[in-house]
Amino acid sequence: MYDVLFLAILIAFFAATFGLIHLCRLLQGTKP
Amino acid sequence: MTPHSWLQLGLFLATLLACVKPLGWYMARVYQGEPCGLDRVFGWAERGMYRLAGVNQRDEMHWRQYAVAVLLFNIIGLLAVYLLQRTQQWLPLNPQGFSNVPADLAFNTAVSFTSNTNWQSYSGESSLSYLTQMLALGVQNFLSAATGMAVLVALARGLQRSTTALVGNFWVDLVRSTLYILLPLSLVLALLLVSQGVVQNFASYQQVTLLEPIAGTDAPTTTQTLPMGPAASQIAIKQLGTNGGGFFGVNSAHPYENPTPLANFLEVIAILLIPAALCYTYGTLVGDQRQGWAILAAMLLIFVPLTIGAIYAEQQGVPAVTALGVDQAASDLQSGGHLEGKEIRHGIANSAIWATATTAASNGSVNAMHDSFTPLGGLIPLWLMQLGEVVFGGVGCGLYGMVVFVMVAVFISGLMVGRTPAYLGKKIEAFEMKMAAIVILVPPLVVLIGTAIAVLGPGLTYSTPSGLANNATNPGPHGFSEVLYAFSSAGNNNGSAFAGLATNTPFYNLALGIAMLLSRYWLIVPVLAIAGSLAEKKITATGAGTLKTHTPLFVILIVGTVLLVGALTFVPALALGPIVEHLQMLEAAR
Repeated sequence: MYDVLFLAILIAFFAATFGLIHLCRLLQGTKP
Repeated sequence: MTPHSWLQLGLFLATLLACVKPLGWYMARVYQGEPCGLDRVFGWAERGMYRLAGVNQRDEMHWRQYAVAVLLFNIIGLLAVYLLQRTQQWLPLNPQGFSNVPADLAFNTAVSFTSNTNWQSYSGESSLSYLTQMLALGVQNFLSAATGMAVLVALARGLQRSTTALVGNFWVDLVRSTLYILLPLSLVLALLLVSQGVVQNFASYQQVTLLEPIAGTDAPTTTQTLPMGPAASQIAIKQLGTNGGGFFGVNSAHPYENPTPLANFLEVIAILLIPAALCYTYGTLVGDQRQGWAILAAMLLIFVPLTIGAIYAEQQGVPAVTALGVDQAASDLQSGGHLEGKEIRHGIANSAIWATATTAASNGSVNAMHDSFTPLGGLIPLWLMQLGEVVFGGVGCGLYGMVVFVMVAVFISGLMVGRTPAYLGKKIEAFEMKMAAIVILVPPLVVLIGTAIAVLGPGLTYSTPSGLANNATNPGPHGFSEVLYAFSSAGNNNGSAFAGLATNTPFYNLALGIAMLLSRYWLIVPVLAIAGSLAEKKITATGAGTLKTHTPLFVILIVGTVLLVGALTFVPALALGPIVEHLQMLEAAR
């Protein structure tokens, strides 16, 4: 039960981190 | 400070600085792909690994590919460490028959060792098999350190290259860091530690009869269990890789981890060895040695005064103890000072030097219990972590954090004089500053929000079979310091503990695990984004109006930037903890 919970937390965290990569890419493409 | 303390500190700094240039030069050759000597010995292994993994070492990566490779590699490592802990009772090399590690503790430990934090809510000798210690924790000691070094090298390439989107190959940087730097240094240090008496075997724990029974409240104790295991090999990399996770629960205060004065000296040098030498490597990689020396000077300008402060605070003793008529002054017969929580054989100077070195670097190993330091002596290690682990910091990650601070300093000075800020010929613009803001703000947010949540209730008590128990072993400001220290340690990937807080609870295992994840990977991504952005830029020619980033004035500007950010962010929290405690201590002695 707890194994599944921690796995879910890890998936959520690393999904957010891959999202951060994408966000940085978008910001890099934005010129002021 | 006593003459002995000055001598210890001087010897430590002289030895460390003597190693910077030769090791830094060697590491630069490793990363530049030039012959380094050991490539003749291990070159076949390096080429074999690339062939096995299907990696072409000449294929370079865009920063996003580099970041994805870092993340995927770390996810696999994290899951492997978790699984090994959760199945250790069915696996070999478990002579003590330890059961599987509970899920929340396994999560915390897996995140801790993969993120190079090495926060330990467990005690190694009473919960982990030899296989888990070696294959899970020992391996991650190497790989997490190599990950930090690889990211630093990618950032240096971003600064050195122009008009390219490529920052190197993560797999090559990872393999070279491990094979040519971490493994050979660890082998040498492990053998030296074995020569000093650090244990290295697969024997089960030994029961010995005491020469003199120890009288207690019950029957006198006549036997003692001596823990065994492959400790030396793990201690070597735990120090060199700024990991810090001890083989035994009390870390390097344990006589089997740190048995002699020479072992203590070697271990404390090993903490700062690679982070200091990487400054020279960085200077070589960006093509200007003076830049590396300037950053090293800035680190020393923060580290040395704080170390002197910690030694001074501990040497002063505690007024309440003086009031009891106890002589705490140094003399021919005693070292004096405040010795609670310290090994007598290490004394004041070696305990305080270790405490500052281990928290300046994101090492986290201890040879004395920081919880027992005087309020100001404990504030210094706490603040060193809160500065963002950039004063030496972890291998690779400390220096890339410091380079981000350098860019902020460049940007601020550019604003002050009204010129476009440039560092090493690269314009520092809005995108780099946005990424720098993420790097600088994530750790304080994690630390302060985590501490606030904990002291609101979830981190104060936990359930036991006999009812609720307090997490913090002390009330008032010291209890607050214990919670703040825990989140400062996890939220800056340090790993040392104040030791007075019960953290093997579901709340702390989860909260500190998330703190470690955020402060590791949400810094690596923006740092690599900076590397990629800088690599694409042209190198502009320097002129008379260009800010020189290797002068003493700029070194002071870096120091000011680091200290101001650290001070402004954390002084209110520190005021609630160690500063109030210090004032209470003085008031009680009046």
